[in-house]
Amino acid sequence: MDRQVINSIGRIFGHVNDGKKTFLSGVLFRGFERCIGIVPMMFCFYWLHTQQSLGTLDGAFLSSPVDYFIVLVAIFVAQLLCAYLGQIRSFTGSYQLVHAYRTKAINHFRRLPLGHIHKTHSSEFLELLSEDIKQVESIFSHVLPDLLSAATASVTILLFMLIISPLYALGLCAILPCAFWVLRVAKTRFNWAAKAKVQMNKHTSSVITDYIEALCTLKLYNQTRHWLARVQKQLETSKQHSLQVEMWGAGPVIGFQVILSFSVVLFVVMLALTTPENSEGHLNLSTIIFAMLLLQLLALLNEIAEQSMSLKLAVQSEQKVESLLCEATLEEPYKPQKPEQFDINFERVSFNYDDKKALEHISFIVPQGSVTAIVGETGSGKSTLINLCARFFEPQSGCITIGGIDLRDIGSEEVHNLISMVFQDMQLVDASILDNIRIGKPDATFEEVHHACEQAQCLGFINKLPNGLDTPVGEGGVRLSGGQRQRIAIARALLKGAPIVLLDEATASLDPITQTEVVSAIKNLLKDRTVITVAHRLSSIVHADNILVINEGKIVESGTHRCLLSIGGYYTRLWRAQSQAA
Amino acid sequence: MRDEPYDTEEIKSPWVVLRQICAPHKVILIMAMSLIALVSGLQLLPVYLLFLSLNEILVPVAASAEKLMWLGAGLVAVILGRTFCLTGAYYFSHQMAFKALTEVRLKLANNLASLSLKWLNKQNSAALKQQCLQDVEKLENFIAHQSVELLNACLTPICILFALGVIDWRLALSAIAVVPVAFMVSTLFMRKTAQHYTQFNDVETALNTTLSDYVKYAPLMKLYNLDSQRFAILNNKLNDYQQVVHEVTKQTAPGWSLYTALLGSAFIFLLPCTIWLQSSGQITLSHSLLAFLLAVGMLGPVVKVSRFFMEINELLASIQRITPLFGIESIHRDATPMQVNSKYPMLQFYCVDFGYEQHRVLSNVHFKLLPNAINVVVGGSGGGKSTLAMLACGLLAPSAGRVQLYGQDVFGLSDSARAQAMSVVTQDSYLFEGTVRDNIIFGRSGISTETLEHAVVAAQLKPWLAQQREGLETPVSARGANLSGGEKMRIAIARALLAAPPLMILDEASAAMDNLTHSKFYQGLKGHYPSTTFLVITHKYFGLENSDQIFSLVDGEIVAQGVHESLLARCEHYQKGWQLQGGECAATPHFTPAPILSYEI
Repeated sequence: MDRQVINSIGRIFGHVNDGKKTFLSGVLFRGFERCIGIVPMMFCFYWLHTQQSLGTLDGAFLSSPVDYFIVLVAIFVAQLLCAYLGQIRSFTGSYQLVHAYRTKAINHFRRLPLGHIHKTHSSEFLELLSEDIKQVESIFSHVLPDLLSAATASVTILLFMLIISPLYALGLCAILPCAFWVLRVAKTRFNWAAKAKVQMNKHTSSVITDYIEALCTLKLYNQTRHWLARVQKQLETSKQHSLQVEMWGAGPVIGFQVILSFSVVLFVVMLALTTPENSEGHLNLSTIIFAMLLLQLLALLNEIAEQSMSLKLAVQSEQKVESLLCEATLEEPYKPQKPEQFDINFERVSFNYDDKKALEHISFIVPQGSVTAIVGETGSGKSTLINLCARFFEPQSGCITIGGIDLRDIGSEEVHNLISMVFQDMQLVDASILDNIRIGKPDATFEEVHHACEQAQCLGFINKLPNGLDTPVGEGGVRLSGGQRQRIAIARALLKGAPIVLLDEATASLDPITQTEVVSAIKNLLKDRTVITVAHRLSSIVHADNILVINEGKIVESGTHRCLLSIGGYYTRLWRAQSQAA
Repeated sequence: MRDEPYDTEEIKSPWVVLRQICAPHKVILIMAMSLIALVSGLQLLPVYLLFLSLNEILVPVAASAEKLMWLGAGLVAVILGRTFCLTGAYYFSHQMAFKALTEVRLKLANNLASLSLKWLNKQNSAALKQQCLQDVEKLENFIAHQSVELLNACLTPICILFALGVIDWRLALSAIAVVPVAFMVSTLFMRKTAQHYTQFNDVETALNTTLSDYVKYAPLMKLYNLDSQRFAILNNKLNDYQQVVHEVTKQTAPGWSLYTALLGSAFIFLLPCTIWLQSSGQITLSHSLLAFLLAVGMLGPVVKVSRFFMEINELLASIQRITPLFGIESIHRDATPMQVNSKYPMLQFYCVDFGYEQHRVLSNVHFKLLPNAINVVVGGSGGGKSTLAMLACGLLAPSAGRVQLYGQDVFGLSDSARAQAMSVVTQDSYLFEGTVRDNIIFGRSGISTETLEHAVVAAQLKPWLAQQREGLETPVSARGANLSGGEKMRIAIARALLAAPPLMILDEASAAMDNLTHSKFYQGLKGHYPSTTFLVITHKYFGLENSDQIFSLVDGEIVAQGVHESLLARCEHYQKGWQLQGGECAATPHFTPAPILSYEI
């Protein structure tokens, strides 16, 4: 075990409270189990001893084979009991522990700023929360208990050996550091091999993933053969490299095992050197038990070496999860304040993505109960503005307030309680329609859900489905049409009933008839709310109370539709372009 | 309808499949196995030599330091020999593992290539990925490590049995008695865990599905303050997982404990037996000593296989998952070019019905395409438009009726015949890593600059390319992640147009275009590609004025067919759609959009 491993395990223990005690007691029992395994050898020794000094030890308490059998069975039962307790406790403990760890990682992920989340592809986070945590789970459920109990047993054996024959034991102790030194020296090579392997697997998997994703298109263009050749080439290279990497990685382990085995040679040599002096009977006997313990010790040490290799690999996963847990979340107020009013105020807000300017000195006011529309070309910063308002990002300068209180003092959780938002991608979870709508209010009664569906114009199509509200929506809502997905998302927002609505409208991809249905659902959602909407079709915002025209991260014009048209500026140009097209 | 070989394949036992996978590498396997057999014998030798040394000092009279030194030298030789054999065995087993891994993956990839589009369309791509990657990966550990270790664990007790059998058969039996018992216990309990494993696997998959949504929809999770407790769906799945794990632990712990405890208690039979044999004078003291030492030496290899029993279920499940795809013999569809028979219409839907399970999507769709013209299917979302497009390019087969291209069923066409006859632009056309030019040419050879330019212009890609500094050499990342939806779509359209096929199917290809580009696009198509038949599937009603034939699809049925003016006059649905989208019956230019679109606030 090196420092990295110990640090990793220490960190995991630091993150959780549940299950630690159960786990440790389980490991303890498994250590007992292994130690009890040594006891039968003592009885072998005892028996040999009685054989040698037949005359003097007449009244030995164990005489017949049956006596020995009974004692051995008793030992076995004790061992079994320890094994059982050890297994149950270490497994239960480890799963509790990892459950808490997993929960912590899941919850931490949600509190990360959205900007940070979007920097990485979601599949990487998924791998972190599923595969990597599963690796961590294997540390506790399998590797660590085995390793620790084997270590306990080997220490016990070493102690015995020291008692029996300090000279031989110390001699052997000299070889152990050598063996572990080989492993340590080889660490860099092992790490290199492990990294090379990961890298290669990554490459292979990306080639295969691309192939599978592209397959449909490839078939439609009858181009499968070319890509197949590419896949083949990658697989062949990977095959060649794999063998090399594996051999390099295996080298140190083999070296370790050879050196350990040489301890038997050392033992025999020591016997040869010391024979003339110890020719008395009982000393010879102690060498016998010493030899048996030595063989047992070698088996244990080999196991330790193997387990620590698996541990080293598993710890890499922990490091990945740890780096997620170390990512800074948004600062939350110690005492969140609740606003009474819901007017929104942006004061000289600027926001950059890394070094790219997104918004610059944005100031505007949305009075409670009014509708403000944001207009601009793709990439002008409209969505960023909405995201800032929902506290998905924190502005670099300036401040945003709701009801006169800074978002930072309200805190993310309370801000999110105040806001309903309809996203461009509908964000349906792979569950039933009911489950998806209930996300808006987990304890909603059936009547409330029904009402929300009615308001969102969902009832029509839901009633047509064979299982009604309980129909599963499929991955990403694939089993529903775009318009249906939107209305379910709106029903969810309606159920939440928050006083502020942020709308990123995406009705452009819908056919006109569905569009009117969605628009009337949205109308119900916006009733008596404070609204900021991002408009893609200008026709939908002619009645907005205020229109902000954004270009390259700055507000260039603002006012009502009529007012903006009368200026004849940027907005007028946009408006002309869109109406001409229709 | 023809059955795919995939569907009719009977389920094979995973062990048979495993044998099938290993079969081509018999020679390497035999090498590895014979080396490991040698190791099983050799690893007892050090113990025996150790015994000889101890025996030496047990009989003090004959003790000689020189002899011990020789024994020591012998030990060195034996240890080195064993290590050599062991390394060799692992070398061969790894070689075989990587060969098998590569072969299986390649076969899966080949089979995927040879299966029909219709089949492929039904698959979940995530499941296919898992089969080709993680499931195959499991083979590595088994072939490279566990096969060798398993054999060693089985042979070691047998070697001991023979070695001690020379002295006394009862002694030999008592020394290894615990091993078969332990194996029996583990097999018994393995049978029970097979169900547990499936159960565990199910909850784990369910959990990962929800976790996937959780990370994908981070804004949603933030907005509704959904954490692992408050997100009911996730919370339920976490609890299910926890519960199953708990249950499985409770059920399997007794078996496991018995197994490990048994392996650790080699002396339970050996010691009493030795005492009995020795006291009745049938063996000597040094014989018993040898038995003790061998019993201790046996543990290492036997304990090593416990991992195998832990992981075997996972391996079997993985093999089971790849079996269907692995098992099919790749079919070579005839690559003969399509017979263009002018007796038949180009593309025809003949009384087509289609439904998913109970849900009916299309009913009695019946039409022919006008050749060298723009044919449009227009309809609302959820009305079956995409299904119709998938039927037209053979991604689906109709439940009843026929979809035929020159008199042949479309879903039965070979890839080459289909590619020759039609180009398809779907909503999820794949863009690969490379330049825009690579993506448009898409591996086809002999494309002239003019043809390319032609396609680029017709796909309305020109204005965008003009803005890019590198023009056609602009880099595209995998899946077109660096481009907007509209840009991706236009590149896909250019790719399809480049082939200038007789038939071109555009499924919502212009959805992301703004109205102006949209109109230009359709007007351009006919001018640029006069001898191509277009089937355009769309939800937009404008820009259709110049189409040659329009079908109005409502709730899975074609309710009207004709040109724009006649539909406007006859079809209520078309008229409504047209008006809602800002069109008026009179052909006057309109600057004011219909008020119904605005939110009345």
